[in-house]
Amino acid sequence: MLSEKARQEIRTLCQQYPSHQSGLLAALYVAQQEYGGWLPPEALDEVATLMGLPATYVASAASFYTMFHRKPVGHHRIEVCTNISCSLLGADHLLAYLSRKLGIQVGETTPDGQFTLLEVECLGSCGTAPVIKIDDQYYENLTEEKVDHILDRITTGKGRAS
Amino acid sequence: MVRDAIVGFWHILRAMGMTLKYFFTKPVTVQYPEQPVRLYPRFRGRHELRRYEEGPYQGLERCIGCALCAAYCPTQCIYVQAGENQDGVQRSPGERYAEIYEINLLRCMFCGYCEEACPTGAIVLRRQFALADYSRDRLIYTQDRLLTPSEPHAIILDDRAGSEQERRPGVSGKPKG
Amino acid sequence: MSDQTVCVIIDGQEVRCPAGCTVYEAATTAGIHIPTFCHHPKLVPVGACRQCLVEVEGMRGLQTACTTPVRDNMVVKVHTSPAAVKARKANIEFLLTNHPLDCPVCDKGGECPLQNQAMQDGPGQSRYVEEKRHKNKRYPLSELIVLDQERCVLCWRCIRFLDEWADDHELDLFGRGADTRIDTFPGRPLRSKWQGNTIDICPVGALTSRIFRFEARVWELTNTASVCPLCGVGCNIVLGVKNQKVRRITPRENMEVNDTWICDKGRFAHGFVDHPDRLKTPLIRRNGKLEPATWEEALDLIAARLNAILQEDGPQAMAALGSNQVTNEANYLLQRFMRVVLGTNNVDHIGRIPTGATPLTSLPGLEHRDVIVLLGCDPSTEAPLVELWIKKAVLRHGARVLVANPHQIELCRYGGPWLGYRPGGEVALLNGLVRAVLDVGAKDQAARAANIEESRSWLKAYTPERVEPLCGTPAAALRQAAEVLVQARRPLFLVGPAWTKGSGEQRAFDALANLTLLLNDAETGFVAGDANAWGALQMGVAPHWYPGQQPCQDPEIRNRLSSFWGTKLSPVPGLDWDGMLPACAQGKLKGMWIIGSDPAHRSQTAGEALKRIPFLVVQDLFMTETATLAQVVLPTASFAETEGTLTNLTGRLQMIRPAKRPPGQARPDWWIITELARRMVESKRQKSWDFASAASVFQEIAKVIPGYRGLSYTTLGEAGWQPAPAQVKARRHLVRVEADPPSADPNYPLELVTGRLLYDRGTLLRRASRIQNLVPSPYVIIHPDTANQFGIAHGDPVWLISSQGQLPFTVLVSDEIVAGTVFVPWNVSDPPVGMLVSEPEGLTRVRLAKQE
Repeated sequence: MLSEKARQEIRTLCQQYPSHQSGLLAALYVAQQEYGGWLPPEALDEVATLMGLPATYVASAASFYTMFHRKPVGHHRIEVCTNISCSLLGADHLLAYLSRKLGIQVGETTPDGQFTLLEVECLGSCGTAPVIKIDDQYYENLTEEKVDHILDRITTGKGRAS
Repeated sequence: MVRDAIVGFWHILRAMGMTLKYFFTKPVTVQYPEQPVRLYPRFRGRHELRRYEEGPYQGLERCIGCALCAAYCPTQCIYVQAGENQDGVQRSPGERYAEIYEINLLRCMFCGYCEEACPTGAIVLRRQFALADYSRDRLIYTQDRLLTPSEPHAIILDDRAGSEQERRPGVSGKPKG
Repeated sequence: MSDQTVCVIIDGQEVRCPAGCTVYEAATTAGIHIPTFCHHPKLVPVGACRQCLVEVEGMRGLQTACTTPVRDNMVVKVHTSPAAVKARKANIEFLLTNHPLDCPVCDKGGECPLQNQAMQDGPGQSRYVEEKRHKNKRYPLSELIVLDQERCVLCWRCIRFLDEWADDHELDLFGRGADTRIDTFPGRPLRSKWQGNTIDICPVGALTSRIFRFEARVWELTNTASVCPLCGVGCNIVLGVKNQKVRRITPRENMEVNDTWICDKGRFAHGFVDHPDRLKTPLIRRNGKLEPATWEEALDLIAARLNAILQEDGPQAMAALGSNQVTNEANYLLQRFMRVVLGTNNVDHIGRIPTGATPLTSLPGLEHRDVIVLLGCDPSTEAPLVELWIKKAVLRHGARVLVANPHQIELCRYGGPWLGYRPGGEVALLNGLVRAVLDVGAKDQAARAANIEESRSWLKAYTPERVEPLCGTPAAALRQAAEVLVQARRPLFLVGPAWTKGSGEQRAFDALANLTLLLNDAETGFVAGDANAWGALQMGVAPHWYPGQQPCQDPEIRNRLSSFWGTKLSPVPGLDWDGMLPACAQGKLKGMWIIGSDPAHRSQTAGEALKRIPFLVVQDLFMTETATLAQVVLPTASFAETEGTLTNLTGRLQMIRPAKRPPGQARPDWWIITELARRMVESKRQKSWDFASAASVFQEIAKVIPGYRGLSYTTLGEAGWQPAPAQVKARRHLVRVEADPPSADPNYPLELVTGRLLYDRGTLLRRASRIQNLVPSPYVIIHPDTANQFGIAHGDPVWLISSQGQLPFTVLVSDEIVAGTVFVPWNVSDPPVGMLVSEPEGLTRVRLAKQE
């Protein structure tokens, strides 16, 4: 269930747009945070009821964007861009490396619930390719060593690497 | 009158001569089934439904019940009713199999178009030609009979001379193609 | 679209078309073919498939013909532009790269637009050698439809149909890029009752029927144009038969009836036609058991027994029930047999359209009504196509839908207001509306009634606040409805059979006439739920009406028909169904013939009464409850096996045609009645029963019914024949109709409301396999107040008790029903809810008790 605070937030968000339907993505974002980082069908249903939209429409919109998760995700989400610039600079190898290192396939979560590995579309940082995004932070010009370093810092709890 | 009798007698002699001539030549008939028949390699006998003999589908029926053979058949002697493969009980690869597959051999003219239409190579016209039976119903071949191979006692003439192969009834040969 | 026309040049051809139409439409009118996938003439274009690319001079790049509007002097090249031809060819190749090409096992194969276009315009071979992309195959979207996501070309037709017509947004695109696929909300199957239409419009084999699945290749089907017999709309359909079995039903375009759509019940419920339960031989009761017999035996026996009853007890000891489900020809012959051969007017059918009702004038006309009022009728379940036309009016023209029904129906979703009422409160509700309309609308409305001044005095008692306790309708809703009605330009009142049950036919229609009199250009139409409700009435299967609704009491008409049929017709008034029941019970009826209906299933009383008839003949498709009571059971042909006509809810005559042979010895109704008559009339009059076919019966019907003169099966054709709308005499006076006080019975405090569901366990649908999985388990809906009163909670098992008996149900507590009433769906429980109903009373009162 969405909290009353989240509901209010969604209502306010929707009012900021000329057509309240336009607030859908913002509303889904709020719902995702409420539901612990992903959107179960109940969450989609609730948002749909709240906004007076068909549930299928909401589910369809949520499925389009890689930042909405329709399966439970780990504590940290590692999103690897595999669009053209990143691919040219070795994103595929990076992805395979991460997959090996974490012992999971793309879309899976490590058994300890720490990391979810995801493949995403262009992150808009082609000039510094290859790029990965961990949670809300970009990591650019990556190599395998850099990735090791970043993951170490995250797992050891030292927070974000620069 | 006498002339007619002479001419008639002459004709009889000529005919008897012909008969006598064949008396000393090698016969074209054979004592089938004791002796093998010589068949050309592309002889079209009765139909067989094949199974996959190897690979991931080994043992499954090739027929997917698409009824294209029935559609192409100029005498409309094939009846197909398809069924849906249930999970776990797979009769053919994929979703569809032939639940009923019947060929009315009384109507069939062995043109081989069914073979041509078949997308999976399931139906083939093999060499069995000994099809006589005591009832008409028995000549509507059902799926189980079509799935059972049957070979005539025959010698298959090869296109390239020299490799004649004798086949005996009940001995299944590997189908060509 | 304006009236202006513009001139475009397509492939060098000058084409005149209305301004604002698309290039595709312009080309189509000129007979120039442009291939398409996503475009469908009934749907709004989206330009999703790129298959209709054409070159337009002066525009950069190629344009999609389906979305590009024409301009004057536009030069379009379709087949003359090498670039466009190449692009379309490339597009086909592109679509096929990921299409699985499993045509041999695909049910669409043979009627597949993608197949056709690949043959026509495609490159013939693919350069794509990599592994094709994989998505879900054999992915059931519901009990009725299966999706193959690999075959899908993402044209959105299914999504758009459900959006634009059915207003059920249950399908959408999920994911993105190469992973995009059609899907439903996670874990939720398609529920729309229009989903079957997406199969038809799918341009590939992505959406296919689970009932037709692998039943036949489409070229193996023998297609017969016919009419759906499952509701009053009479949708035009095509029966696809292979090997004497109906494999599928698809719609047939008729813009006057069903456009190109049919509901899922009509499409998927044909399983009963070929069900093994079908009666295959006549049955005769010997030593208390029904045993198979020949037609000779059965007909000889019936003739002998009827003759004996005729001798001993006279013609009035016999009665017949026709049916609003069988053909006009059968109904006509039945009443002709009863009136001419037996000499009695005791002929009726169950569910007769109430006196005073008028047929709807036009189905497509619904689209142009701005206010649609549903009185005791639920088109979504009783006549689904009507719902589709109403939705069109709402979605495209913003029509309002007012719903007067004891419980909320699907069409309440358009904001209503919902005028919930207790059965019996119909007159109070209408009087309240009349009063509220006068209050809101002032002069305009009042001026329409000639006797407005004297009427005001009796209407005084019907202020919304005073009406509320009478019928249970909230005063606010009544006012809101009145405001909508006052502003209506062309309101339409749709009346259902339930509307007249509580207050009586005359009063319900008088009260309604008062309201329509006050409104602008109002029309009333009766929504008949059964396939041939109007036909049965029109054919004279009613004690007081000869064919063509000509009154039996009129001596002139009687004489004319007497001379036509060559016998003296009885002037004795006949018994209607309500009169037959007590006559049965009292033992006055010795013989009865029932065709195509199951009264014993409908009510306890009917079953008891029929048991007392010494000689009962039942003619039906299945061994119904009534048939089990019969002395002789005759197997008849279903709609797929006989020729005949049905009259739909607009009075339209449409033909059904035989698509296959009846099972076993079953025979068409007209044949059975004719054969029996020929056994009973003396030899010199046998000629008048010389019907060789249904067509010859119809020839006679066309002579007997004045409005049908000159009609024949040839003139009916495939589209049917629409009679001119009946001239309704416009009233100028308000008629005083007073409402009943609400009835009260301390033992049975609740009013039982029954209603149809789209899918139920009726005689026919019970034999439609997959449909049965969609029927809910028996439930009763009660109001929260009622729940409190009886101490019952949501989900509790309860007994529903009437004076006739009791039945178990599961309770659903909901405020979507008026307090004081309970709703039970018809034909869902077993034993049927009819066990609680006593006939001929209009309403049934019940109470609830918790199951221990």
